Amino acid sequence: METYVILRRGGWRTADDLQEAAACSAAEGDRMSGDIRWIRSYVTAEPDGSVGTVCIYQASSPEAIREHARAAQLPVDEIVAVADTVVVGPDPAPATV
Amino acid sequence: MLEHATAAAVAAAASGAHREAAAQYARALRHAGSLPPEERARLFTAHGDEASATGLFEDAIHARAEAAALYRTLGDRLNEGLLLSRLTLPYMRTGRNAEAEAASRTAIEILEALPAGRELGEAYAHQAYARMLARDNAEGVAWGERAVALAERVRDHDTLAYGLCMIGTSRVMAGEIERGVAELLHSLEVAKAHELEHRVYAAYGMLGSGLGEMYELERAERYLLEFIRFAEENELTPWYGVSWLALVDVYRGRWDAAAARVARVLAGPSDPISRISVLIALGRVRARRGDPGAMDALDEALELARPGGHLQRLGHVHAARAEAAWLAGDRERALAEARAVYPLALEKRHLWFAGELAYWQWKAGGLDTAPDWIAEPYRLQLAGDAEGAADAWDRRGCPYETARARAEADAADAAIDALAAFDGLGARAAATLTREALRARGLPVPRGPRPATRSNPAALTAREIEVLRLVADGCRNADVAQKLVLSRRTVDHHVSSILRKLAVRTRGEAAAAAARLGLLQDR
Repeated sequence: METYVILRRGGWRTADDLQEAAACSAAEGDRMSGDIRWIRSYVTAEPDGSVGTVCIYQASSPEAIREHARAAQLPVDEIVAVADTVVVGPDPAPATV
Repeated sequence: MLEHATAAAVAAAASGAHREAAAQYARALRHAGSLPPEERARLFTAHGDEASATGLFEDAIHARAEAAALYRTLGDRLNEGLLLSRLTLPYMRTGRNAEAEAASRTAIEILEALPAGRELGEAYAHQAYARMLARDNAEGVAWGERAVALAERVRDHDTLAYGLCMIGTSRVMAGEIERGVAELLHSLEVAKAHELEHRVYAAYGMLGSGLGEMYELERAERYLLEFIRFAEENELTPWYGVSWLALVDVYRGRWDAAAARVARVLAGPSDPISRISVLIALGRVRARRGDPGAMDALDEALELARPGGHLQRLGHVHAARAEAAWLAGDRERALAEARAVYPLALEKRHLWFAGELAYWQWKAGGLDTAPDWIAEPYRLQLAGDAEGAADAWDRRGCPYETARARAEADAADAAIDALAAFDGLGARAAATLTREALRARGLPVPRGPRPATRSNPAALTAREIEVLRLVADGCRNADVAQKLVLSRRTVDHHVSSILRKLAVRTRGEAAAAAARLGLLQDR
């Protein structure tokens, strides 16, 4: 499994819409557990008032990420491979999904 | 033990169970030390045929080399020549071209010294195969014609089908598509009439891949599907067809379907040639989407293609690498990749590889003109007729290539159309380049694809919404079944699918979710 950053900029109108999508994403992630693992996400406040995400996933390939996104009806703007991880401090307290 | 294994092998071969037959022959040969050399040679011959038919080319090489050596010791020149000629295919398929060539030439030399018979005809056909693979098309036709002439004289249907297949493939590769397809269909007809399973398989394979290599994609797809169906029915390997279908899907803009086929081939026990094809498909899809790992896939493809050194693999791999480099913004590398194999493509007069390799050099500023015989869309593009090139791609059913050509047209609305097409395909790399080009020309740039905010984020089907509304009204599954005239089982299935999609555990929660999603309103 490789680590990837997935950009989904401005995919949802409201945080509630995103919440629904997150539930769907988790369900599909369980189904494809051998190929993909959702690590964490940051919800982005887009300039136009919509919300997007920057997600960290582990996956067997970029194609597995796209298959998961298709099944869970998630948009994908860009997939970037992670070359290394530098953890400096803990994440801020997360809102649970 | 020996007799039992041999009998089992013969029975398996007769019933078309080639993998089983190859395994049984291998077992028989482990106990064959005490047999007379004639018997051992016969067993090796049979093992070689079954191994070759199931793609076990290393085993086929070993068995046929052993058989040829035994016949040589026995002074049986005819069978020695025949078995040497049968080494051509497995040697070529494992990338050992020089050994294939030596075996084929020696076989022909031995057999031409004997009265001409079916063995010599078969040896000519094997030589035609080697020339076809090297894309020496005129020689492929010439050797194929010798094979066919001799096969007709001695009424050898197998070599007749083989020779016709090689003539047809060589003609298709030379761009004489219709004439070549007619020869291939003739080969298919002979093979079917005489129940020559491996010749039917080969004819479908060559029709599919030959037409694919010439961008006759719709017809290619039809024959590749026939190939896979035939392979699966007859216990032959489908990978060659699946891998070519992945490439056809890429060029027809069906990238998800291509990726699924790629995954299937990479997970299976595929041969190097099928792996090269799917790695090219994967590299192209990743490069076009702007996904990571495009060059990784194409590095592996190049490693696998190098030993064979054939244009059909190297031309394809380097063209894909030039494209990936270009889309990644590396002009120098795009030029170097295209240059690496362009002289070979010119030497073999390959319409499509010469065309694409010329195109990338032209894009990268390293080439002004190309010969006028290159494939039509590339010829038009290099002549400055981007709209004409786009139309030519469109006629071939290639949406990405159509948009790529249109993006280079002078008219701003053509580039804006192309941008919409790139966004629709998910071709992020080309979309980004097109936006930059529009900006550089001082033209207004349409914003990027914005995924529509879905009114039905749970992606329920129309039927599931119908079921959910009744569930929200308090209906039990049996009531739902009665109202919608469905079986109870079907309703159970719908309800569990609804719960899963809404990520809820109970019917009550599902009803609440339905209300929240606004699914209970417009009734």
